Amino acid sequence: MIVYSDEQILKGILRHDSLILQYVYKQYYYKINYFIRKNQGNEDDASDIFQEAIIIIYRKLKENDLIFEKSSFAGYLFSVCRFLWLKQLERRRIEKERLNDTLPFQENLYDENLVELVDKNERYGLYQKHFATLSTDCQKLMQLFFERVPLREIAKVMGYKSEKYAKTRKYKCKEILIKRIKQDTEFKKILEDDT
Amino acid sequence: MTPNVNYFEQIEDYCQELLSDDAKLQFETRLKQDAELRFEVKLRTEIQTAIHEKDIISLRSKLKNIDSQNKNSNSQDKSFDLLNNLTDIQELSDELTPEELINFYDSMPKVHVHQHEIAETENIHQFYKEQNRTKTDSEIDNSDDLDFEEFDGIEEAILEKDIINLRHALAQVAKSMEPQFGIEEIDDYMNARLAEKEMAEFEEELSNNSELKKEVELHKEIEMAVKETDILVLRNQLSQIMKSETSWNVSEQSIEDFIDGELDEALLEEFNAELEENSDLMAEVELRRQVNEIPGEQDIQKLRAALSEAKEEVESNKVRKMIPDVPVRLQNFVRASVAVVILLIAVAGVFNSGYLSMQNTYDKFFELPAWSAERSVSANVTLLQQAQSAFAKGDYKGVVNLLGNGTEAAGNNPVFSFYAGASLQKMNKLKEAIADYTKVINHGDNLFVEEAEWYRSLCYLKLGKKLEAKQELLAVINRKGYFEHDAKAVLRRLKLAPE
Repeated sequence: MIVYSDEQILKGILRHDSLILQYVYKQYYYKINYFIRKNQGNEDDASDIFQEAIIIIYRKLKENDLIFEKSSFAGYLFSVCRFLWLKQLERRRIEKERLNDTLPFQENLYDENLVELVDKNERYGLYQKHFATLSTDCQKLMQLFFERVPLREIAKVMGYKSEKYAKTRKYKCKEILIKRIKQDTEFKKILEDDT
Repeated sequence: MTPNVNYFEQIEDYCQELLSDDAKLQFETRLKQDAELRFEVKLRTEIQTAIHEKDIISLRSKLKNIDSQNKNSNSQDKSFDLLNNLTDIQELSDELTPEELINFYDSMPKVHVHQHEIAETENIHQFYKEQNRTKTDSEIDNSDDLDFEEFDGIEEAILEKDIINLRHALAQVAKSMEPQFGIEEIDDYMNARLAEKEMAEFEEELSNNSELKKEVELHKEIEMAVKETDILVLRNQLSQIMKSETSWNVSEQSIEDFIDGELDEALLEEFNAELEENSDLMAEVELRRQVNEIPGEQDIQKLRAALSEAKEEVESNKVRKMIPDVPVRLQNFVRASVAVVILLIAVAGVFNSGYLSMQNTYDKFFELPAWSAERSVSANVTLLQQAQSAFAKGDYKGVVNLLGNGTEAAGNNPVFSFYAGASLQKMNKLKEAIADYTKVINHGDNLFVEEAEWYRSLCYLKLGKKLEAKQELLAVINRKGYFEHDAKAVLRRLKLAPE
């Protein structure tokens, strides 16, 4: 079986390489799954935590903020997963003291920067989840607006008769999105955590 | 005789003591002689005295009031006796004139009005009337004497009024808390589309209003999140991988070697370490172990074969009796028997050496389907009997001659096509078999579709058409039918098979 180095894995994640992602999944997922199931979680929790941990690593890579000194990719991944699961346990008001630590984590990775990034990732993940529930044209329209594409162009691309209609439609889409986000209980929990 | 006016004036003046002494003397002389005059004077004197009795008038008035109050209290005691009071209405007991009968409908409103009048004096009615009045503080204080326990409704009503007020107040508060700036304004602000004056106003509000600040922050974050298309793609990609890939980090060969106890020491340690924690790998190893045990169960295999034979006997009897409908349970049993036989044969050779080659996989998995043509109600029984006989004797050419393409019987009958296809496959005429199976699949409305797909996939496999075989196997897997498991097993081998 091919073994990839940490560097190859990080580069692979950065370019969304399917082979590397599959390798990471096969190599490490079961350990995370085992840890979460040992600590009051289930298969779905494990999938979510694993996925979000990879996204967080990707964000770190994008920001050029991922340096392994005494750590390795596996150590970092496990530490992030453990941190994410601890946060979940806290939210579910489950005692963390009795944690069954099966992952080789590194306490020194839990710096302020990671905490901030995890919070940001959580919020953004929630927004993106609701964005994905909008109709395809709403999604496309909003993305065009956010990319600062001129109104005339947007109306043309979307096949709208007027720029005014494109603008009104965009407001409607955004209104739906914001309403859905605000109604989400997860969003309320995030707000509670922030205060 | 009618007395003249002077006569009454003199009486009046006498009573008022307004007469002169001479006139008085003269009047009194006449009074002694005239009895009528005496009566008249007495009457007027009494009237005059009575009018002056103010205390008595006052007392009477008070007594009258008391009396009327007593009457009221009497009627209050009769609360809700509405029907009893109907007899009080004179009209109802009186004999009706024809005119009144014609206007009979008017009597109901009269009864209604009458009941309202009665109800006005009742406790409940009075209470609601009082509710409409604005109470002064002193009035409220006086009401302390009332026994509220007797009036659950009153208490509830008062509470309800409070709740209504509270609700109203909350609505007002909520209204005041609503964002003063809508999505459009916030959006215009973020995109610098506000006029200079409006922008200044908005920014001033933003510096003072924390709610607005939060709202603007949310808008900014949503915009950033939506623009993260790379993250959206990555998340989607990860979900796909997690759905489609196995989560173990060891090869199929390693699993088989582990089960057979042939894994190298170094690999074994690694394998055991993963096996300890990886629940999916545990499940896979367990499944493969169970599959390996099947060929060893000779007694069970014999029993199955006997059962299968018995069923075939029953089926052929049924065909002879020309009973077209076969219970679903029996169909399932037959299907199950066929599949089990196929599975047994298939499993028996799965793990032998060279099992990864397509030819070997075909040999392991292909088993001629059992005869169960009665699954189609429209089959030609006589012809099927002949075909069955040929099929049982292994005369596959005979079956094709009876049912195959180009024969009179073939037409668009999926049963004929299926058994013709099976016979052709057995004779290694795979392309012709594929054509027959395709007819069954395209027909769609029959019970042989899944089997036809399975056998067609095996034909492709033997022909070395890996891509077609893979597509066909995926179709079988998607049906989640009896062949799903076998199809997955073949597909796994197909992936590992040399190109």
